[in-house]
Amino acid sequence: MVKDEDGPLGPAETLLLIEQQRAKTIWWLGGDPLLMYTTWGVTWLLGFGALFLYLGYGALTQATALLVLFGFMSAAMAILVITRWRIGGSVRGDSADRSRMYGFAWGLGLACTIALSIRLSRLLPPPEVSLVWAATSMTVVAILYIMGGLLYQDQPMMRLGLWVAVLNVIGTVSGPAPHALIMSFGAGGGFIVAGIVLHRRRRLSG
Amino acid sequence: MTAGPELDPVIHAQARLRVVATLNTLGEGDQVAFPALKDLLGMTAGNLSVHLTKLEEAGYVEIVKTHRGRTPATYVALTRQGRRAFEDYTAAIRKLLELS
Repeated sequence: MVKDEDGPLGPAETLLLIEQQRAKTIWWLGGDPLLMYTTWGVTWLLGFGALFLYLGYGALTQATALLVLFGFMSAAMAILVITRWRIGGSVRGDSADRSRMYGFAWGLGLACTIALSIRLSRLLPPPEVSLVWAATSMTVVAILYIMGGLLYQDQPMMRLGLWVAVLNVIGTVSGPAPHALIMSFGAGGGFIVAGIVLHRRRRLSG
Repeated sequence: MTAGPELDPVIHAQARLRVVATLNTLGEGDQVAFPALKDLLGMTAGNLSVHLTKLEEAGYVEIVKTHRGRTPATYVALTRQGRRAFEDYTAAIRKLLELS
């Protein structure tokens, strides 16, 4: 026979128990912010940092810089997909279907970016080639973070998407090297800080 | 002491309250796999099964037995009645907090 666990709780403790369980479930469904945001932050800090070293100082070749950026982005995507896949395998229903479509949107969005960038790369001078790759991929990231924020009713996710969109516009207008620098420190730094702050906040509330 | 609102005894047990609070956090119509729910609640399979049976008898949860490929899989979801019962329960708890 299973006991009904401990004694009865007071109203305040009961509400706290409900809130803690809700927070734990939201964390589980959405993934740890440290993993979901800080991983991307490190990706952009180092990836766009490498691109800036090429554009600003010629310290790296263009191929190496783009390889570092897209190598890190592929790794971050893989972490995101594995995390979502783990959750997707355990939950089924309307929201799981929406998440699957959202995952497809990421894949197809980035595929369009790559196709467009390869096509335009032949027509542009090297620094502009880097900007096309960087600006188009960050456009997809910004839009999908905003859409993800709306889909999961996740305010921080939506705000981070808006933050990347604004930085992307400023950077694109400013030129290839400033764009890489703004993305490295602004988007990369912003996501690292957001991941750590949200992780700590959820730990305290959980 | 003031007489407060009555609390649903099925949900009022701590373990079942945690089960219902977890399922209520999922979207309406969503089902969660039994092993994931067990891990999320930190319960043993036997313990969780007993509580789910009580919740199912009350009409608060739906237990769906199916297959993923060749592997049997069990999914759990909160019914509409369960969702309403949880809303009523939290409203009653808030009222009690105001009265105390």
